[in-house]
Amino acid sequence: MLYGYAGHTLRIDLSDGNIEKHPLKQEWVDEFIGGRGFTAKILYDEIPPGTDPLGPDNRFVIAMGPLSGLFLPAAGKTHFAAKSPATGGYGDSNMGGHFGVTMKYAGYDVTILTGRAKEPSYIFIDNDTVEIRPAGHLWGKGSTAVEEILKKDLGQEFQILTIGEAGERMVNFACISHDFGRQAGRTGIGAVLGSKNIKAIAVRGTQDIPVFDPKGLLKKGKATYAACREKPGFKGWTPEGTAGITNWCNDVGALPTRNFATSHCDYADKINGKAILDELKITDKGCFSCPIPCGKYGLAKTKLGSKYVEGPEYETLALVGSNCELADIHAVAHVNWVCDELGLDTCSGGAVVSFALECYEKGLISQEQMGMDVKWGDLDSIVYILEKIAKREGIGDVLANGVKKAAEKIGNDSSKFAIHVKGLEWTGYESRNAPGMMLGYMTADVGAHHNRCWVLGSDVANAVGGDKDANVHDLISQGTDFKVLPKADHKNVVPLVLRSQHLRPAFDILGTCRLQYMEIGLETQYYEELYYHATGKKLDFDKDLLHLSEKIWHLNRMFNKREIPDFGRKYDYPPPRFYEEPIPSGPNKGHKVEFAVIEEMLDAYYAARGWNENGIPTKETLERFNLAVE
Amino acid sequence: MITLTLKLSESLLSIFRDMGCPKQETCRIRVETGTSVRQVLIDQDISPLLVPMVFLDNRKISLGTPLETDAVLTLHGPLAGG
Repeated sequence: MLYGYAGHTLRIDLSDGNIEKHPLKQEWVDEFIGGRGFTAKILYDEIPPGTDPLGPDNRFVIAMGPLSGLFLPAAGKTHFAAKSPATGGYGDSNMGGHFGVTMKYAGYDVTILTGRAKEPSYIFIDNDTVEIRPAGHLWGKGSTAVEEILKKDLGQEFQILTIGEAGERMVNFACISHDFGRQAGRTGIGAVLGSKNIKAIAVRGTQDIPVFDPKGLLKKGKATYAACREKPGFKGWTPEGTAGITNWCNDVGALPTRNFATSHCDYADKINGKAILDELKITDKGCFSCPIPCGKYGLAKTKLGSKYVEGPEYETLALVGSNCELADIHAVAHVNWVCDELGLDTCSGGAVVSFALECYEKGLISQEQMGMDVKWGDLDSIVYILEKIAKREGIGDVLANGVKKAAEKIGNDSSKFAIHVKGLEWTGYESRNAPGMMLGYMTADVGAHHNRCWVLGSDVANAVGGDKDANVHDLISQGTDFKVLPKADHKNVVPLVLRSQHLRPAFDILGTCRLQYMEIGLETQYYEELYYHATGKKLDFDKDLLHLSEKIWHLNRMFNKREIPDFGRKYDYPPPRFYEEPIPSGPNKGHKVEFAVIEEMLDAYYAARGWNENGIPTKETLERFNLAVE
Repeated sequence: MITLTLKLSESLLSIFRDMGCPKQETCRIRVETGTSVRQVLIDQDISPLLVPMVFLDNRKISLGTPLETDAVLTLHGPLAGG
C-alpha cells in the first residue's frame, strides 16, 4: 500500500484519445516524493529532446504531493509543468485553491497530457470516468465565464481549471485559472494547454486517500493548526495578505516603477493593502484547509464597469500598478480582472505592457503600429494593449511572445530595457541594490521568478546594518525617512540564495503552501511528523528534503542545457538596464549592479553548486546526486 | 513605565538569523510610557526598515504610534507577494 498518495497516474493522449490509468511509479515516489519533484523527473524523462513547447510532443503535467488533500494547514497546492514556451526550458507554476486536492480525491497524483485534441475540448474527470469532451461552446470565452458554465452544467462540486483567450492563442505568458481568481500564472503553461486544444479540465473526486496512521495524522494535524494559531505571524498575515508589503517595497526602493526605470513612486498609498481593504474588499478568501486566508475578494469600480475580482496580490500591484504607473486601486483591480478573464499572467502581463509603453514613448513602436495613442498610467491604454496581446492582433502579436522575443523583433536597443531572465519577465522586486535577490532571479531555473528565491529582507538588512562598518544607528534612527540606502554588500549572498532556493521547492514537493513556514514559522519537525503519519516513512527535512530540492535544481539545469541551444552562463545575466543605468530616484538613487559584481556572484554561485564556469553541473555533482543525465 | 510583550514573526526572525544575530520569538521589555514604536525597535536593535507591519494587540499601527499601556506588540518582517 502506498500511503499518502492516491496511487495512480492518469495518462491522456489527446491525439488518439487514448486514456490510461497506471499505478503511480514507485521510482518517482522513492526518489522525488511528489509535486515539483515529480514534474522535474517527468519532464526530463518523457519530453523528447528538442520538442516544440507548443507542439504535440510537449507534456502538460499536473502533480500533487503526499500531503496534498489531507486536513493539514494549507495542504492544497497543485503543481503544473511543461517545457516553457517563454524560455524554451523547464517551466512550472503552482496554485492553491481546490483543484489538485480534488484530482487526488479522484484517484490521481499525477496527470500527463500529450498530443493535441482534434477540436477544442475539455477533459471531464469524475473519479474513474475520464472523457475528452467537445468544448466548442466554451472556446473564446473568459476564464470566469467558463468556470460558471461548467459548474452549472456539471455540478458545483466539480473543480474547474480553464484557460482564457490568451491560452487559446498560445500567448507565451498565458496562465491557467481556477476557483474564480486563483492562477498558475508563470512560464506560459496556459499556452501549452491551449496548444493541446484543451480549454478546461473539470474534476470531481470522492475517494479516500490512504494514510499510514489516520489517528496519528488527525492528532498531529490538529496540533499543527494549534501551533499556527499561537505564532506571532498568525493574525497579522490575513488582513492585507501579500499586498501588505507594498509600502515597504516602496520605502526600501524595491518597487518596480515605469518598466523598472526606477524603484520608488509617490503614490504607493493609493495601491497598497490598506487601499484594498478601504476600497475593494468584500471578504477574505482562502485555499483548501488554509488557516491564514490571504486572498481578498472584492469589487473594482471604474469607468469600464464594475467587476468582482480576487486580488490584486502584491505582484499585480507592483507590475500592473507602479510599473505601468497606474495609481488607482480600482484601476489596478480592473486590469487584474481583465488579465484573469483573458488568461494572462499579471506579472508578465504588467511587465510586457510597461515594456510596450516605454517602446512607444521612445518612438520604437509608432502610433500607427500601436493603433492608439497609449499613455503611462492610463487604464484604457493598458487594457487596450492586453486585449491586443490576448487576441494577437497587430503589435499584440509581437508582444504576445514576451519582452525578450518582442525586443528582438523591435530592435533599436529595446533589449536593454526588456526586463527578463531566460525569457521570463522579472517580477515585483527591483534589485539593483539587492544583490541576493538579483542573484536569485538570475539563476532561477524557470527565469526571473520570485518564488524560486526571496531574500530581499536580508538584502535590506545587509544594506542598513549587516556591514559592521555601516553607521547602523544613524541609519535606522532615520526610520524610513532616509534619503539614500547604503550599497548592499554582495560578498556573502550565495549561501542565503542557496538556502532560499532549496527551502522553497521543499513545500512544492510536499504539496503545501510555504507561507505557514515562511511567515508563521511553523517548525520543520511538524512537516517531518505529518509526513510520517501520512506515508509511514521517516523524512529528515534538512538531510532528505533539502537534498532533494538541490537535486531538482541540478536536474532542471540539465533540462535547460539539453533543450536550449548554447545554454549556459549568458542565460543567467540580468537585463542591461540593471548594470548600465543607475536608479534615478528614490531610496536607492544612484545604485546599479556592476557587471563585474554579476560575474563575481555567478562564479561564487557556480562553485558552491558544483557547476562549471559556464554554469553546467559537473559530472561529479551529477554523480553525487545519483543523476544519470547528460 | 509600561510592559510590552514583543513578538517577532518568522519573516523577521529569519532575517536576523541570516545576519548572524538571531533573536527570540517572544520577549518582555519595559519602556517609558509614550515611547514610540520606532524608538522601541531602535532600542532593540531592530531596523524599522525591516518591519513593514506592526500590530498593537490586534490593531495595525504605524511606527510613530506612542505606546501608552501594557500591550502585545507583534512585529512582521517582509515577505514575498503572491
